[in-house]
Amino acid sequence: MAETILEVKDLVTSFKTERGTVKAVDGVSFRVNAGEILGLVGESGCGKSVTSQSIMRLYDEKYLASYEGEILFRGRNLFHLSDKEMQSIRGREIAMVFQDALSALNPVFTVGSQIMEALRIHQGLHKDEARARAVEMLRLVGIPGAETRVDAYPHQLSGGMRQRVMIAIALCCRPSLLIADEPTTALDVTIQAQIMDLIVELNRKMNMGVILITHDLSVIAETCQRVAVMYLGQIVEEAGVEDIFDRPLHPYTRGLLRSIPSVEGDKRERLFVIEGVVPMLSAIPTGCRFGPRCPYATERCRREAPELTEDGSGHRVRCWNYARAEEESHG
Amino acid sequence: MNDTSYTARQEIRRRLQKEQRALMWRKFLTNKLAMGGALITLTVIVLALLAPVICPEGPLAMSVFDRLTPPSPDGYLFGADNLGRSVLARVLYGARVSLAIGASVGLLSMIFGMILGLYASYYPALDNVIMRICDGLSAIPSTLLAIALMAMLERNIGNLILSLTIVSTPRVARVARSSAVVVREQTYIEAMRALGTSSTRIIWGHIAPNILSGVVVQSSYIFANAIITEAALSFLGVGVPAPDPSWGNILYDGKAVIHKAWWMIVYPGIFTAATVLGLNIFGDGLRDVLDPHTN
Amino acid sequence: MKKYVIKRILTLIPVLLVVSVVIFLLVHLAPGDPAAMMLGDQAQDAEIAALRERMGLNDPLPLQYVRWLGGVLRGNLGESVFIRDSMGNILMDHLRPTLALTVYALFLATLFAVPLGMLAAKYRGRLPDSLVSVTSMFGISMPSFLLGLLLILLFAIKWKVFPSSGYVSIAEGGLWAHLRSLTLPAIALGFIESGLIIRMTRSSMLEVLESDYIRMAKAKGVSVRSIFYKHALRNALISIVTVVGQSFMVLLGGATVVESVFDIPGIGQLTINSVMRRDYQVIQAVVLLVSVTNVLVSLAVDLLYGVIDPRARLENREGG
Repeated sequence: MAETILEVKDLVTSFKTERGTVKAVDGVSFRVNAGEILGLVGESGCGKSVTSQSIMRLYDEKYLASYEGEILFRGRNLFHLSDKEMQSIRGREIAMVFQDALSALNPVFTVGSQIMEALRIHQGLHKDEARARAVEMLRLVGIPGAETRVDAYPHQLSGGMRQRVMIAIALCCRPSLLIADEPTTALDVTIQAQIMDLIVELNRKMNMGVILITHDLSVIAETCQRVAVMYLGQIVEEAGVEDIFDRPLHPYTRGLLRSIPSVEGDKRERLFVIEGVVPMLSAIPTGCRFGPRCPYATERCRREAPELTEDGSGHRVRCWNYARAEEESHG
Repeated sequence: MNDTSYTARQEIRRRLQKEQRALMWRKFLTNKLAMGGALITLTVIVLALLAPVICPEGPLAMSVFDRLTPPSPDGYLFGADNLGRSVLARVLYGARVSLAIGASVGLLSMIFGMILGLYASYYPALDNVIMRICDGLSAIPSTLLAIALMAMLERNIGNLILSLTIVSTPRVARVARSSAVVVREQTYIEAMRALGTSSTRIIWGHIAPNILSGVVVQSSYIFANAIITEAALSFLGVGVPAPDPSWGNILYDGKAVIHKAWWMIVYPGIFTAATVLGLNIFGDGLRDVLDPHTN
Repeated sequence: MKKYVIKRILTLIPVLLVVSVVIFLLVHLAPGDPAAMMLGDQAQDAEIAALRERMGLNDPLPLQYVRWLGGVLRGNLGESVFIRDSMGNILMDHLRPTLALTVYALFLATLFAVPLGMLAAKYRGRLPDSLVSVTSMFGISMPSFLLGLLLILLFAIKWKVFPSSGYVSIAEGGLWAHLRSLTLPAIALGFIESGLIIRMTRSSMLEVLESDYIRMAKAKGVSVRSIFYKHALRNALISIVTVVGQSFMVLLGGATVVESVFDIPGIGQLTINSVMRRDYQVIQAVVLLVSVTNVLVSLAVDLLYGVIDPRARLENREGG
């Protein structure tokens, strides 16, 4: 079995807001192995992005956020590291690709200098070496005319190219873990596929672990080995990718799966939509968090919160009635 | 769109607006900044109103033997000026003049600025003309324009208010226009136009109430600014004509004897700065209450 | 870029047109006969009539405006009834101290305000932030002439470290005496603007620090220091430069009042003296000169903006 790079244990991230403290992530645990792509899915507001940014400790810890639990990266708990040590992890060991490249690239610096910056910090390269590496990286991510594009400003590139630049920045120091937070949402479909192919290709070449955050299950199906489904700051189901598509146990996961538009299916069939909306984090329901939107909810679901339990085959689910619900859906 | 649903929606909108106003009012009362600013300003206003009670002798009573008497708790509290007039009396009566001018300018530029801004936002043809005129007027430094206007006009309080209003109106007009343009583009305004509601009703009944808050905030800054500019003009000798007191006039007299009578500078100075500070803080607080995004 | 510059210059035309009309009307809409007012109470009717004829006051207003504007464009700004010198010389003599004062005040204000604004942004919500906010609030609320008087009371009369008034040009007393004579006036003038620059610096730094590219820089492993001084400051600078540019205009206008506090023979004093002497054409010329300077400075600021912000540069290029 491959080496485990990252292990998240009972992560809790809470934010101080005007209306008191809010737990955006509440007891999340998962692991990522080398060379593996883990998908993190859920509707917006479910805590996927907060989880990923907590792993890199990107939130301001003085005024805004506080963390509990453990983030074990190659066995070291990141929460115990100093600011300095954390800086040497970010960008070198763990790198991140953000959703919207236009706002995530600094508008006043050339893309080249933004790639070079990471190289110079982490590898102590000189300007010329760093520049040569930057060009090489741009070529690697498939940007034509890398020698001239290296001096372009972000807004001079197309959306797809900007996203490639972000990937170049993230990968230039050969990290062992890449967190890609909705890396293709802002792009059109053909470019989306190209960017995803690039991530998968580089993931194989460099044998790095990837956490792919998305709300798009079709992307998960094509790229990931394992999937964790999040709802309201918790993981509600986790399993291998085939397993989850063949045998979804949690009603929320089933809802998500049924809302994928299918290409071959009957086009007249209305797209399934999960009833209701994601509640505010400040008004988390008692009992099962999905209870109020769940078609199978019972009295027990309203009273007691279910734990994440394993069904014996490595498939974890947080539901009291998954066995019954499964029968019903097959029956 | 049918008529009953339309009125029903209107009703809901009205109720929502009312609730929002109540909420804002509560927010305002709990906003320390706004309340602090209002408190400072109110104190000065109350002192100005009480001037005849505190200083029954009035701001013009001279007593030649008391010229340049320093402040003392049992004589002249704020000292006496170069003509033997009580500086306290002049500062308090001056507060009436300065506040009245500032408030009038704030109010008048709010009215004119709103009219200009609203019509500019509603009629594109007017927009260019009005806004270019505002640009032109703002290109001339306001103090200098006010001085030039006062140089041409007869020196009295009415003309002073007129000059300061001319100088400040473009600022309000610009704020009014930019928020009115946003409101004008909203669907319900479009719908009303389609239904044939008269332009006047749309402008004054529907757009104006929505831009009022921004304009009021701006006017509180204009109020503060008018007090500064009035004081500056009077200090330069082109504002409130002597012997009427205004804070600027007292400072003008004080400058001539600055080596001998610090109290003629410090006391009117404290009142001017405190009032302006109060109004500015009030404006900031008001802005925070009305527009949470700026914070 | 060239096309953008031309386009930007063309937008100045309506502004300058309005400015010229306002300045022209200033004299002509005043109640009473300008000629009579200029000559004073003892003037004979014949004298007044002669002056009216010479000034062209009997022609219709639009014609007078066109003639006046034509004169202005050819550099004829009218003449002073009091000072026997060409208008150009009068203005230039008085403009020098005013510009020195304005530039000095802007320099001091920026030097003081930008670091303070950054400090406030860095320690957002904590003691340094509150102190800076209070300072800037006081700054905004302190009229410059009042601050000038208070500074005279303290630094000139009580402690005697600076002269209480007067102006020493570089030619007369050298750079040091020149700066010494302008220091209190520059502080008085600059203080109110430094309050604004502090606020602007703070708020644009905070806005920039919230942006995605700052988080991205952090995710790259950039140090806190470098994020603040390199990534954030460079972006915040774009709006700071704009405010500083606008401040120049405010200071130029505010100099009028401060000059009179410190007896500096600048444009402001010329204006006030001309008001007292009813020397209307000088007032007209001064207001015109200052307004045109203003407009040109705002043009310069806009063009500078294009240099600092690569996005604006690109738009310019696309525009032409």
